Amino acid sequence: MKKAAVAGALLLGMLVLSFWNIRYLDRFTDELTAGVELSRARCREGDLSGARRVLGEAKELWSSARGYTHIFIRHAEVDAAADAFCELFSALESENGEGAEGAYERLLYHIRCIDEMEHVTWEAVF
Amino acid sequence: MAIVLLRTIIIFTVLLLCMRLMGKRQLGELELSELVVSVLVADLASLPLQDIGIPLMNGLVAILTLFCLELILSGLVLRFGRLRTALFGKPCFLVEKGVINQRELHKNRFTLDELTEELRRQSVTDLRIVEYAVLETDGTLNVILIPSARPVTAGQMGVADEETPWPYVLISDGRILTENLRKCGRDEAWLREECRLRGMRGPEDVFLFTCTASGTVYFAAREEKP
Repeated sequence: MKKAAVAGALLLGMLVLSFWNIRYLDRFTDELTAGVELSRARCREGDLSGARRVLGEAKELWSSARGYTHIFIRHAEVDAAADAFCELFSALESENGEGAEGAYERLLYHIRCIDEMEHVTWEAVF
Repeated sequence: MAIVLLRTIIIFTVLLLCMRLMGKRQLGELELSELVVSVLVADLASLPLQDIGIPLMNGLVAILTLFCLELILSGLVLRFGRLRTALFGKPCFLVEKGVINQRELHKNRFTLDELTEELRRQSVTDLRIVEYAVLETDGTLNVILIPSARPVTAGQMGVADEETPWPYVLISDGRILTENLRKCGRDEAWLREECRLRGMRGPEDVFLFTCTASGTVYFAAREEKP
């Protein structure tokens, strides 16, 4: 029974950890989304260099969480988001504000996917 | 992580219930929950190995969850007898005093062919000599013969039954096992002397050396490596 109690505690610990992971991922993706949205607002105002700078900060945040993302998130999702960042950067570099709009959408979509991936819903579980 | 954890709990429970409904003959010497864990772990472990795009954490969380569920279940089963019966069933008498219990046979989805095959495996061809044939919870069939068909024991024959002395391994592939040497009541000097008497330079030349507490020795020299 002692072993069963230890196993129960371990299972409970994992459950708590997994819900902490959801909250962490929520906060992380919220910060990313806020950064990308801010960059989009600058881009719409025509301030492309400002948009690049803010996006650079968001990219920095994304890169600094590399250890976490590669351990907890499916690598295909991580790669898709990283590709979307690169695509958006190249659109901003080429001073193509209108072309960047689609790239912003794609990046936000991938960030949303990463966020929703861990949400405990009937669809996700089944 | 939470999704993996919840999915593992659901799959474990569903598989456990399905296998319980399949009957005992599916088990084959494993308890139900052990079988479920064995079936799942093999697959779970191989997925992150084959596909490097899946984080190892996904596999580890699932395996750890199964491990916890199995331990919790076995703990609960030890404490609550009714849970044990509900999950693993109880032993069934397929044959009682030479009569086949057809209802139990049918209930456990055991065919007559399978029953006779199991009996033949235990050298029983005549059902009349079977006192009980019990299908255990792990799926094995235990056969108890009527007294007149049981093998004669040393006790029945009145033969003095001495204790069987246990042979301790004192040298294994040139290595002295000091713990066994102590249990056997001998020391290393005695062992080296025994080796010398058998024409060996020392324990390193011995492949196997066993000795019982009464002093019966088995000895095998080490052969030259080809």
